[in-house]
Amino acid sequence: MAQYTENELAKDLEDQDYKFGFVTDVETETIRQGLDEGIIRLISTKKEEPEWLLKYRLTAFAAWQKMTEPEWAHVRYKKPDFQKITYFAAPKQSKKYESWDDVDPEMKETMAKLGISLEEQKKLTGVAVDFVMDSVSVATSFKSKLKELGIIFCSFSEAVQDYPELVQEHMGTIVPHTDNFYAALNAAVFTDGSFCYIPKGVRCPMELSTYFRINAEGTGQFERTLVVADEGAYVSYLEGCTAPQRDENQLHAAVVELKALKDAEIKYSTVQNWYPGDKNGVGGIFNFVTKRGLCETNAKISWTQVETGSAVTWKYPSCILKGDHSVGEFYSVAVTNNYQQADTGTKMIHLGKNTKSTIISKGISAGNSQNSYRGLVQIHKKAHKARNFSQCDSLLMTDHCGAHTFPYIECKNPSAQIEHEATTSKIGEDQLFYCKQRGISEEKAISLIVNGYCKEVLNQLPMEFAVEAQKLLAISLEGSVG
Amino acid sequence: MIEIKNLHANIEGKEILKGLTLNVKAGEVHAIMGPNGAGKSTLASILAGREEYEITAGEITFDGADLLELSTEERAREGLFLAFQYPVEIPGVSNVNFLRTALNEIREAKGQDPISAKEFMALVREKSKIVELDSKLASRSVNEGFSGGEKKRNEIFQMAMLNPKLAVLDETDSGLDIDALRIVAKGVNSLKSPKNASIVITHYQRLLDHIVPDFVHVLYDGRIVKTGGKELALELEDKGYDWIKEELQVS
Amino acid sequence: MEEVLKQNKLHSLSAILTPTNLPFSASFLEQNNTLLEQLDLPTRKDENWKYTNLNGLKKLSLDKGASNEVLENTSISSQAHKIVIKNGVVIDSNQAIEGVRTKWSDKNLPEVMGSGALDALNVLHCSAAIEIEFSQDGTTKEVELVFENTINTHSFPRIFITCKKGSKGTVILNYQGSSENASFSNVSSFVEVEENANLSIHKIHKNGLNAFDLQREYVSQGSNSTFTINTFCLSGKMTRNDLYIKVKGNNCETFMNGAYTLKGKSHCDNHTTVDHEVAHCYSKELYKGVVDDFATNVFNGKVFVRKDAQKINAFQSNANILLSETGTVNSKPELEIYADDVKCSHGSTTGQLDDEAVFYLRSRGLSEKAAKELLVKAFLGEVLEEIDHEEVRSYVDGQIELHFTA
Repeated sequence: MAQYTENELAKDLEDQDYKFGFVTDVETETIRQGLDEGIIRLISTKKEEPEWLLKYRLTAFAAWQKMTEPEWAHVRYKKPDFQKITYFAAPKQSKKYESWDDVDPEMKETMAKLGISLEEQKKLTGVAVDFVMDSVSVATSFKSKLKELGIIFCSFSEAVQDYPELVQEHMGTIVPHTDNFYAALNAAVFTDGSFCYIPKGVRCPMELSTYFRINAEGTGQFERTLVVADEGAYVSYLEGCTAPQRDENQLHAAVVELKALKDAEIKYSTVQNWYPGDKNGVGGIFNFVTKRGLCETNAKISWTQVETGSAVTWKYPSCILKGDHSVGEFYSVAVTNNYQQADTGTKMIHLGKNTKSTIISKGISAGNSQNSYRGLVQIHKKAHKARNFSQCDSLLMTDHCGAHTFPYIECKNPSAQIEHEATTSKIGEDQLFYCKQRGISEEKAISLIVNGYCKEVLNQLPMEFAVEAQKLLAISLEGSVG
Repeated sequence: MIEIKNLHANIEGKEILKGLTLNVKAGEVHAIMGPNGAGKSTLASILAGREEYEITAGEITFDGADLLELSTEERAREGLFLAFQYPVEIPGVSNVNFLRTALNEIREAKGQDPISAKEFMALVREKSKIVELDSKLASRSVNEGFSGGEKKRNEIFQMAMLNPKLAVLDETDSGLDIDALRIVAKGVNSLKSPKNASIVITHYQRLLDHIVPDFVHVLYDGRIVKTGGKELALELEDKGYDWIKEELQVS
Repeated sequence: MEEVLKQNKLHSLSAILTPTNLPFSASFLEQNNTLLEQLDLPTRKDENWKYTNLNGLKKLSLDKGASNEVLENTSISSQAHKIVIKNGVVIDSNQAIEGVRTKWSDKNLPEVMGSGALDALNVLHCSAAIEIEFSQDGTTKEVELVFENTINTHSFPRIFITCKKGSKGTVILNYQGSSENASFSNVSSFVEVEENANLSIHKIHKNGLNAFDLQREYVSQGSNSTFTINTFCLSGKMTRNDLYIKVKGNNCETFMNGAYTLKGKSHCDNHTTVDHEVAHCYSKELYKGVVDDFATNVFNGKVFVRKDAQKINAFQSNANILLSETGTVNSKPELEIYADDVKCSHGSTTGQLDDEAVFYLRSRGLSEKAAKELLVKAFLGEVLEEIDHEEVRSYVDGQIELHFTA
């Protein structure tokens, strides 16, 4: 993080608007709008899926039809019309990419604009990237190198074709298709995503990264990510998201499942920067995501998220601490500005003995936005000596915004220790004045103070992401003090 | 360097400064003393541009420019530095990052290129010696978990880093033990040059044993009521402020 | 009315309750009746009742055996004017207390709507209405209402408390029940603290082991007022308090303290809401308790700061000690903030007694039980210190002691 200079920040600040708001002009193959069994069969056929997966989709669809949209979150929005969404939009491709050279130049340019030039990444940073545009995985780098270690990192569709047993064994075991409205919808219509398997005892030598991009108009993005770390394995996984600037609300309903087997560790970091809508709250992504991980004995799952985008966010990356001595962590920064709404937090379900969880959440509300932390810490009867520590802080930048904290704490074991603390306050006037007296402008002072306030969380991110996240925080809060 | 003419200022409708006049030239050290509530810290706050105060009359010229027209950060960039009586803590922001940001903003305002990382770190090492500041403090968050003495030394360290034209030290001696006082004073003295000036606001004479002022002013009831040399400070230490009040009543 | 209730799941419940004989207006009764038609008992699907299940009420039977045990030493305060409400009905002492009314002609019975099914049920089966008014030059400074449930009975009082401009008052709401009876208390209270007034309420729930006690307090505070409410849940099958405080005036102070000692199968649920509508106010909440055996405690505290309610300082804290493998603690402290210049915080802890401390005390010769008791008392001591009423404090202190010996 130290490499990032304030000067770079200054340059970034000049570009205040949503800089990922461009549209890539590639030919897209889409199917008709709407949702019915026919569409699901069509998606399945297009993806040449095995029979069991089609069945899974249809069962999920049947379950979804009986469900209603959840309304308990502290967000208000116009419910999407599920018949007006195109559930399959893929950049048209004549053949599958065998190598990087095959990738459409237009697509390469898009990736470059997003700062994820795969070519450069190949040379420099050693991050393996899977790029998902409009629900279809476009390119995965470093595949062969990873393969030598037995690590599988590919698009979900490829995994279905090449490793059907692995997919079938784990998919839907952590987030069942009946879990909730959006998880069910995803299970029915998901088009792609990423799959990752780290074999026993292997420490993945590089960060694995998926970059999600919604490009086509009128589409929704429904991707699934499944990460399995076998016994004693370790992986750090990054996820980035952007979308073009559009007046309509596009739906993103993803499912992420993590499985950390005995002694394994998964670190999952997200920098979510979907298009948040304009200053008046028009357009933007509805980000309704189900993320959950399961820890077996002595395993650890750590979620880190920096949420600056989306018009509406509904997201609770969770940990089921099933195995004894397992550890769950949740580090979150959520920034809302203008008319953004975020209802985000985590669930820590303590089932095993000596399980431990830590929750650090920093919410920053600006403009007319609403920002809520919602979290559940549940200690089951047999979770002897379970420990939880939660710290949820909210910072308010204007008097039009809201900051809310809704923690649920449920304890059924007398040896458990649970601590929850939360504070809500305004950005410090004295701190601002102090900075200004040293010659620092208000905008930059805010960026400094907010970054300091979020330090605990940002420190959890891998270096490349931390820099990006710092920039994002500054950009998201441009002109936010009222 | 700075000329304050007939300054009147209110806070929440209450008049604190009632016609303060002060003229500080380059190369000079001015001490402002006075009893509690005389308006000493108000003066410091107004010079730095705190918005809670309302200026009802008077003017301040800083290097020929109208100071009151400038925002807080513009004043800082023009070379006005306030050493705070209560330096604020900024969690998560390292001293180094903070100072580098400040330095570069000031340089940018002057049309200079940002300082290179190497030069900057050399500067940090050089200046932290002046106030005997542990280099570890430089990488810690701004003032967070600092002792009272460390905070004050950090203020002087920042002053050394930013090299201001005019330094206003607001009760910098308060809460310091004798060693810390000596270090702080040494720092201030070593920064003295014919091109800059300082205003030392203090309640006690003891700081002035170490920072020798060219002029001592007594601020009482919102005005400078008496001006003298360094011996005035000793007299005040000796006799307190009552004789000045009496003198005022007589005249 | 019978017919209406038959269509409703409340039917079995209301069938065993006597209709009110208080002189409510027909329209008011009708209004509440309609409300009952539309609503039902809250269920766990209702966010506010997520952790408290009222199904037990449907099985409640009030007509079986009446033990009519005589309760002794129920009253707490020696300086308070006393009113006894026995098995739901005010015992007429023929002694008038200034500012207090318990008898009603149809003209003056206040008709305030509550907010849900339980309030409507309270009206339709209201067994007593008590009005207490403190005024600046009144002589009444303290009133204690002693509710004694000695038989299987229902007790549905409505309580109106007003602390007039500049006055100071203390009310003790003392709910006592004989150990075995199956009583059902359903209380709606309406409290008005006017400008510059200072009101303290002390609530004691010392109900029988089969008693349901569901209560709601609607409080509103005028500017510069101080309101304190101390709630002690000592026994009962199910105790539920819904405390809504609307802080309507500037410069108010609000204090909420609570302590609970739960054992057996008792279930205690304290829901509190402080709604800061205006600026420059202070609120502080502290609820602490111990949960043993099969007992469950629920705490849900909400601090609400409305837009423009700047300069609010609000603190909220809930601490629990879970003593048994079979007990449950649910805690949900909430902040909902729409103004920016505020300082709000909350904390919640759940844990057990410090083993080291227990060991230390035992090494000094205390039995394990005595050691634990001492530590629990120390834990609850923080709440007891907040009680500015000597007799209430010593009563609660004594009850905590009994909790461990009985």
